[in-house]
Amino acid sequence: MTKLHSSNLARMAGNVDEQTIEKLRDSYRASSWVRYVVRPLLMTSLVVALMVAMIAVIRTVSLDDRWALLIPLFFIIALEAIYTTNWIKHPDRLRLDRSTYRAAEIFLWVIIVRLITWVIFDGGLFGIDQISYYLANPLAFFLNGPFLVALLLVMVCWRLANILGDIFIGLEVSEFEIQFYSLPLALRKARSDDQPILTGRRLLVHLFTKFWLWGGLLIVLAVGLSTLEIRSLDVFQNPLAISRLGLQPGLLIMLLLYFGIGFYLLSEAKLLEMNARWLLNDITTDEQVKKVWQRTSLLILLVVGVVAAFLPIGPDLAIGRILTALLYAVFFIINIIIFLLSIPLFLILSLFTGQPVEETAPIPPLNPQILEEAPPPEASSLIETAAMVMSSAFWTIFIVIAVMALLFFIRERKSLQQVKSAGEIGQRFWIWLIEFWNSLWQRVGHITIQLPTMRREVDDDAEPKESKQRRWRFFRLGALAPREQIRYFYLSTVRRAAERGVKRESADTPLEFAEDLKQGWPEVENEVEDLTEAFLKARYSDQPITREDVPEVKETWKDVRRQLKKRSQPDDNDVEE
Amino acid sequence: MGLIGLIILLLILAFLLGVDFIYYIVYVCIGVYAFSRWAVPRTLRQVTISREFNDHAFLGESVTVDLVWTNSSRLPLPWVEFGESIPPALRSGDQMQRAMYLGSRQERRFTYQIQAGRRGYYRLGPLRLASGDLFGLVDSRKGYLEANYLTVYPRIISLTKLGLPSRLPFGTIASRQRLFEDPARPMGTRLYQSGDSQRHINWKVSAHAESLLVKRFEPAISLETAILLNLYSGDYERRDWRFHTEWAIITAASLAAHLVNQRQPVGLITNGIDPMQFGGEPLFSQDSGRLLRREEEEDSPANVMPPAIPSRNGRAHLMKILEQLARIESGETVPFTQWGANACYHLSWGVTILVITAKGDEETCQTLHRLVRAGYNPILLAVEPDYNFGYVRERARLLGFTAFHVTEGSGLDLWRQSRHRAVL
Repeated sequence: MTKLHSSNLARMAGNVDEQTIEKLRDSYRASSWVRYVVRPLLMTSLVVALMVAMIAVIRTVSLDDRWALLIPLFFIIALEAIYTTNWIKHPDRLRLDRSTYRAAEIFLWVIIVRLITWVIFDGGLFGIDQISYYLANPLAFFLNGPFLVALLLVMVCWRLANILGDIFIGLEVSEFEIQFYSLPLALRKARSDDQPILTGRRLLVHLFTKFWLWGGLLIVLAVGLSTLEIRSLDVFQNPLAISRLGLQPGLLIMLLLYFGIGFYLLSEAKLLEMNARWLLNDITTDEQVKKVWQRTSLLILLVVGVVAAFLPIGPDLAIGRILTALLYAVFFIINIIIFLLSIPLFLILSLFTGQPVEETAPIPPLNPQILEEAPPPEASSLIETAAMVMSSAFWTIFIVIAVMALLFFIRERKSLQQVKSAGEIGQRFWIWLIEFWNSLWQRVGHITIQLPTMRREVDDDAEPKESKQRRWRFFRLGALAPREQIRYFYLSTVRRAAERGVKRESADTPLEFAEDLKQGWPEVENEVEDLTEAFLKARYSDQPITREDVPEVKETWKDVRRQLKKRSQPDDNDVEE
Repeated sequence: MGLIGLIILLLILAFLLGVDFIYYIVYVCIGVYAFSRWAVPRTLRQVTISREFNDHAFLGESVTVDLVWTNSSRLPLPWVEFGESIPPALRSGDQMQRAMYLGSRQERRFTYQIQAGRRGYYRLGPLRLASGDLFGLVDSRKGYLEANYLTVYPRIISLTKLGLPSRLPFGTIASRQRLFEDPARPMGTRLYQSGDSQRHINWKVSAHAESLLVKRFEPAISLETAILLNLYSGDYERRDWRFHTEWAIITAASLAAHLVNQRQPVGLITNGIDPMQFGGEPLFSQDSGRLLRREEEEDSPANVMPPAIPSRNGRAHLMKILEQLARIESGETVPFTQWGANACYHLSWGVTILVITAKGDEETCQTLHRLVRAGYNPILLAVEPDYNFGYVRERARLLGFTAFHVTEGSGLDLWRQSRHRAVL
């Protein structure tokens, strides 16, 4: 790749003493250890601390501890984003299409996040049934609650890391500046066209300060919220009834880490700003300044931290008491105002009724019986085939884009030799992809030819096992949530009942339809009752339904299905006869 | 929102959310902020800076300037940047701009060299400094060390290099009148006569001879010498007037040094401009760093011309003369023909006046003749090249004074060698 900057730097190269440049690098830039290891790790920790606070809130609300498993992912994403920002801003990458590169990076992260959320939230390792289901329903693969939330968090984490990376890269003295300011003053004046554009470093320091302060506020708020115990929806009706949990040690560490690292990075940002100022103004720096700067910052933080630890904490503090008094005063005034406003209102109302005003009757809960549950759509083979073609096309395009993104992402970061091998791998993959596509088309053609036969087989309820296995399953029952599984059992029964003549009218409630079923199939009366009851609980109740509740309902459903099969087989025989 | 805003919001959150640990964070924030705000100004107040150097230098000398920083505080200054303003005409290396760490109770010394390459009065400094906290929470504090001044004397060369004889009768002249007896040269005693000064009675000898005897002195006296330096730019050739006025100043300085070395009293009278005569803040050139005269005040020449330096001897007096010669500039003041005779009225009778001017034209010679008639002993020193200086010398002889041609420049050496004897 032709390097754009090389022309500018090359013009200076003849006049620049390499030793002078090296000296300037040593004087005005942080060491490689700090730039490539310490600082990225600190920035990553800062971002991760923020994300941990967000996760803590989500855990408190959802009562699901699995969210904590995402924290290592945040760490990796933040670190990767900072290193990529660092890499992408290097003068050698001036000609790189940064937007496309970033898009490829995001795309890869989306895939990784989906796979990780699959493992964490969808019951562990991938099952064949689940893969088959997602292959047939690509949208279902992405329209998944935990995945979308995790993706949102990941994007926030990635963006924050990028912002931090950008700030600190902007603050660091660039190679252009080193090269230019190593020239003698007269030569600099002569080559004023090559002068690097001035970076508003003071603004960047302010930007970081703002970032850190707002982040600090957010983390404190999140940590504070995470100490609230939210066990049910009742707490929202009566916030004062919220009980308190203690501050978790992990969050405590994160809080400390966030503010400690923030102060340290603030000091680092100031040092970078000063370094650039000194370079641009030809101010020779003392070697000691750089060495002492961070040490002194740490010492100040340590001393202040230790002193603060011995100070009184909590509402006993004078300021706490003042705030308490203020808050009570505010509440008191509000109460008085409301009371004074309500007296004339009640008096007016009592004039109309002649009776004291009663409390408003509570709104009756919604009757679940009048809510209608639509039966699942019937899957015909034609629709299935079209869906399969569509999903195949989708996944093909998706895989192609993913591979392209991966190759683009890796190619730019590899040396030429490595790029060649990556290219070979890509070529092989491309050939495989074409073969896969061809076989897919052949299969589609085969299905189209066999479609009439297949339709007959589908119509036949007593289809052989082999053909059943060949049918596409659109989802894996076990992957569904317990509530969804129970709904599926019921709705499946409703569909089968409709196929056997007991159709559910659109105005029928589940209980009314259960009566119809009992009349039609008296031998499964109890099972129908149980199934309907389980469905009502799953559909309209906010009571938790665990995985332990499912097997019982499943057995009931299987009994109903078995009975219906037994009942239908003699009829079929009659027809054949 | 600054750190203060964050602290307030954190306090409110700590109270509303009831998380005690937030108070700890608040304390840390307050602590860091308070320390940043308090420590730097306090430490800066206990930092002293001094500039150590020799404030007088001869042309061509290298002067060492030491900047001494002393931090008498227990707290260190993590960073302090400073820049010393050095006159460009004196720079002999990199600029003195540094960013440094100043530890507690530490003294640091920064040395730089300046080269006295041109006579003048220069300002060293001021030194501007800035310091601040490590977190950027408070604005940088700025300060400065006031400037000091350096005088670079004009070049001093020997009389032979000036083209003058080394045994010129400057100052000491023979007197035919016994009115002028030199008490430093006793030559015997005589009987006391009425009217003799009692101070001249030799008491010991009178006691021995039993009659009053007074001391006798040689009939000679060491007279004063005054250098009359004409720096009116209109009297010089327009093309090279800067060069020749500079040469005139070098000549004056060399003569003064020579006379002081001979233990002769010497004074200086000039119609040049001394920028130090102006009131208010001195003005220095941005390009060279030299003291500048203010153009707006040149309308009244009397205000800008330095007062005459009376004749004295000794090294201290020579330094005084050289200091003035270091600062002096030529300008449109008063022409020599109008100024020369008047400037010498205050001098005693018989004083030797070394008149350094551009040329020995008729008006100049007439002015010097008036000085001869007033009882002085003028000597003309013309500094501009003149191929017909023989006529000048002849005219001067006829008018009762001596004329010398003092020129400088390698182009004139040949001419000087061939005419040297004739001119002198």
